[in-house]
Amino acid sequence: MSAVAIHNLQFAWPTRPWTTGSQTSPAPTILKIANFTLADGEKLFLKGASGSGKSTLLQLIAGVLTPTAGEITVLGQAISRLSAGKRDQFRADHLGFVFQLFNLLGFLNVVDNVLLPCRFSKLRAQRALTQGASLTDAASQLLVALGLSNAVGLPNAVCAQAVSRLSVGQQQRVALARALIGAPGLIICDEPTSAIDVEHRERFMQLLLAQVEKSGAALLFVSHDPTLERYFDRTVHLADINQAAPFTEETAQDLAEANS
Amino acid sequence: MSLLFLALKSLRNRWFSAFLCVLTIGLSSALLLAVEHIRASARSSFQSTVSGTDLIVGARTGAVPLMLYTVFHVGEATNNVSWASYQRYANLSSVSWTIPISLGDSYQGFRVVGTTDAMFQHYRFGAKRALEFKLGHAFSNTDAQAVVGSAVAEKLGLQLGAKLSVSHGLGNVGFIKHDHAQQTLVGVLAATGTPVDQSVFVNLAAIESMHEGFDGSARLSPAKPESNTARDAHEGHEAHEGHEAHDGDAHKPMEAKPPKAITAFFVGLKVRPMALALQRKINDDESEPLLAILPIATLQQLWQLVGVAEQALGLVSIAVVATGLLGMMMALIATLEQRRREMAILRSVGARGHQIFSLLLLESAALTLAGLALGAALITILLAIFADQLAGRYGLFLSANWLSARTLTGLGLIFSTSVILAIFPAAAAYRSALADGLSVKL
Repeated sequence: MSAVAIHNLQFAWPTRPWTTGSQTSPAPTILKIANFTLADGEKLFLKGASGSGKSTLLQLIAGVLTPTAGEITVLGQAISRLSAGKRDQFRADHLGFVFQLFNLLGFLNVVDNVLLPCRFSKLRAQRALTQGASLTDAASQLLVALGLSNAVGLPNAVCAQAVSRLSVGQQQRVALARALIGAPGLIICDEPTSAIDVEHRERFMQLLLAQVEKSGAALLFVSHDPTLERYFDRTVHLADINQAAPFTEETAQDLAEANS
Repeated sequence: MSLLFLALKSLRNRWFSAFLCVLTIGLSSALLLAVEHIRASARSSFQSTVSGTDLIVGARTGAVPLMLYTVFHVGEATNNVSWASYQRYANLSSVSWTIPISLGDSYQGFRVVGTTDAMFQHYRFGAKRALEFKLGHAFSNTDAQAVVGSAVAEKLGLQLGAKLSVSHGLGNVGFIKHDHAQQTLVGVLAATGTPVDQSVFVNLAAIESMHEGFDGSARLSPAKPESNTARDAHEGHEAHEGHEAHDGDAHKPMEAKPPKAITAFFVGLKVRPMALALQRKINDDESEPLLAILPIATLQQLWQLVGVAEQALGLVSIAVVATGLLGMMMALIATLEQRRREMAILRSVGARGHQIFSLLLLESAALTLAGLALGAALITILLAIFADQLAGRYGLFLSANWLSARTLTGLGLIFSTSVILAIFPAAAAYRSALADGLSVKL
């Protein structure tokens, strides 16, 4: 079983009947991927310039978007065939995300942020309880493993810490703890290091890889930064696998406006 | 449970705007509750101005005017009821008791009610409450004694034993002072919140005798210079038949001289359902044009006249509540743009579209509940502080318990309206969360 398997995927933003004032051409295809596989436990670096459809691909894998054609299988589940609610539940149960910025909810403390997936997935909560004596304990252990206890004091102090007081690097590590809690099968990172300064980037990558390895999850790491390639088993250039016409920032904006 | 946790945490994070929403809803719902409670209390205290009386009988006029001058002491009777008619009905076997009243005099601007001690035995107000004495006791039916309502005693600073000189007519100055027939104050009534508080009760016989005094003044009364002019003035009030001259001596025992006429009388029946039959009988009386009214029916009729103001107040408070709810909805909508990232994060950890929708509904429900709790607390506190003052100053008796079917319905309506209104921001959040997916491009 592979973590992600894509076959003959095509994606174009759906045209809405009420926005097609000028019925000229159908929306251009953004993604057209014949085959893509991420093996179980594999750490893959997906490289692509901004606007190349990276985020769209991630949202398709996450089940937030559905493909226009083709099939996406995640952890053995053909998520493109699931209903919207089931896709949301699948995402809660099996996927962990770290985004570029603003990963955390400002109104929750560090531990509540880490435990957020457990609020939407019983499965994650149950698995987290096998990692620690309590959910809070499981979260604290992850935070310690990610080196956060040194930065903000004892684990108890971490629990109550407001996320707004953390540095960006610390916030990204909290986000990583959240992605890892309850041992999801696939971790997806979308430019998680681009806001972190270079000295801390190294440490973040090491912690990320160590923890992902420990959990046995597959890692799909998306970035345009070639210096990060060396951490990964394999690198895939999105431009190489995407057969759709090159997509620029301008056309993306045009489309976004057309669809808004 | 998780959603509620998130909703409350999120609200706490925006505590100031949340606090303002709660305050708005709290104040507006307190206003609505206050208006409704005062309205209901005013209505019930109005409707219980007189109770336990089955019929009120006076000279033929309109039902509302009869009610107004006999119970509310507003306006004047244009005609009287003859003593003979009164006796005829009072002695019916179906009649349990009657209270004769004779109006038309005043003391220092307060209405004087000539009556008998039946007033203190049988008159009921509110929940069949009898008149109670704060000081002293009822007058005897034979002596020149008076009992005053609580407001009269308080305003005029009357003590028991005071001598009251009743004036003829209703002005503050009075046209004539019946100085020759002073009434000794023997009792002060406890406050009732009804026009009784503003009344001076004297012996029916005393009223008769003091008016007799004018006609025989030259002979029987102490010769005072003003009594002649008084008499002249008095003779100008021909319409005031009840005060028409009687021959006789004011200082003779009064029960010997039944009055020729009274203004009206209250009737209590042995068997209540007889009221309609007796009412018809009285209204069809061919010997004298009389009118009998059922107090409850006429009170309701009267209240409908007052009802316009009541409805206006109700509408204003509803508008205030609606403004509060719209304000909350606007506050929620205004934050949605800033919260798109929050929604994207929630989506990434698996929140479904309908959970985003519910989150907003929960926030609105939580704000409204807190607002309603604040409103309920406010009204309870305000009632505790001001109920006594309102009772003392305006005779408006407000119970501490403002809970009623109507106020609870009101609270329920506010709550459900707020949840319904919250559908708009919730739907907006739902749509934008689904459109944004996991990445928000702001």
